[in-house]
Amino acid sequence: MPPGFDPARMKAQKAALAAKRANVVARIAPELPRILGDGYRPAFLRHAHRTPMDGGYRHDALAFARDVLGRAELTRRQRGELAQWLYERSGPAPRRGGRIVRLLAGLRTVRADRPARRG
Amino acid sequence: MEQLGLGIGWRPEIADAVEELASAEGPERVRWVEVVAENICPGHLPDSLVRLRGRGVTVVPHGVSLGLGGAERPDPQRLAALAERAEALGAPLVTEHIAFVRAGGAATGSPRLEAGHLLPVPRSRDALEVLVENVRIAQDSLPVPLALENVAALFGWPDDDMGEGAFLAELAGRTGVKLLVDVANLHTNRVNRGEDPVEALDALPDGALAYVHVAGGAERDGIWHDTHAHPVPGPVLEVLEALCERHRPPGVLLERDDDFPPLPELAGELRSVRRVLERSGRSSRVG
Repeated sequence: MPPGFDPARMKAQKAALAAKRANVVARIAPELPRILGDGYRPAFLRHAHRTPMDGGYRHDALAFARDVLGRAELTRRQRGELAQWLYERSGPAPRRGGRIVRLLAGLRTVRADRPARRG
Repeated sequence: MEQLGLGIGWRPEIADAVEELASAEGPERVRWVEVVAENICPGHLPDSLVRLRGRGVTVVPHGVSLGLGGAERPDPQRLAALAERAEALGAPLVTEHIAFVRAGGAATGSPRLEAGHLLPVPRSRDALEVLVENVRIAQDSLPVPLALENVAALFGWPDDDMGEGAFLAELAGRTGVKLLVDVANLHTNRVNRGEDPVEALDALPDGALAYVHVAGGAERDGIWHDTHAHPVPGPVLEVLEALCERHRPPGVLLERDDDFPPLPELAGELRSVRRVLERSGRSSRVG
């Protein structure tokens, strides 16, 4: 900490920022506290103190899920649900997209099914 | 600027209650709302906001991520997004905060950090110079007037050497920016930083006031947390009263962001706010 700041207040600010992250992530990704139950908050606070935010709260939700999947003690079921949650939100675009995404995915499948041209 | 009157922060969780309050007959009636700018998409406005707009309710976009108090220049993309929302909502003004929200990044050689929260700027000459420049850039990019809000702080900077009122007055005087005075944040800074809200109120220039925020919070271990999840306490209403004795706020808006109470409780809070406005004898100014 740079000199001149009140250590007790900085500690309070640090705790408040971590608590806010836990609350906001729980609101925008309610599946995470549902999957982790009582373990959500302590696991999130551990994540928050280890990993400063470098993007928005959605980014933080993903970072937390990756973090907790790699570190925390989870039941088999929790691990499966969390991994599925993360899988559905990873990659260049949401995998369970709307009609256009499904249509495009379908078209790609059709093309792949075509026999390769000769020559 | 037109009169705004009594308003409430529109949030998806209380959209139905807000619509009811906008058509109420009693003193709890709201005539305008604020919406968090980053939470809406200009092409797909929530139906509730569209209905409110159709009934003549003013909607003001309230940004939380510009970070005008940061050392870097405001991000043109964020400014364009805010401008786009102001136009989509037909808003008479947009509001943001006197705060920093991020630091570091490529220009600094240190990792980028996002606070996800409105943190206080140093109240120093140097910080004011940077803020003035950033505010002018923002004003040039926005289609409507900008008003800036004083934030609640848990800590101060070692180089603070101006009072909040002097800082706000100089910022407004040099840039023409309007001020959104949050009386709950003045109360927060009284508890957390020992600053007298009345000193800040006395220093506010006439005509600089865009509107006023009122919100609840809670004290834990001698620190006031501006939670927006608790009812508005008496001391905050007292700061509102002190403000109304000195200035004529064009509007007063109740903010609630969590632990949303049922409609009757929100209506009760709005009536409490209106009682303060009427007691201070400025009721004719607040519709």
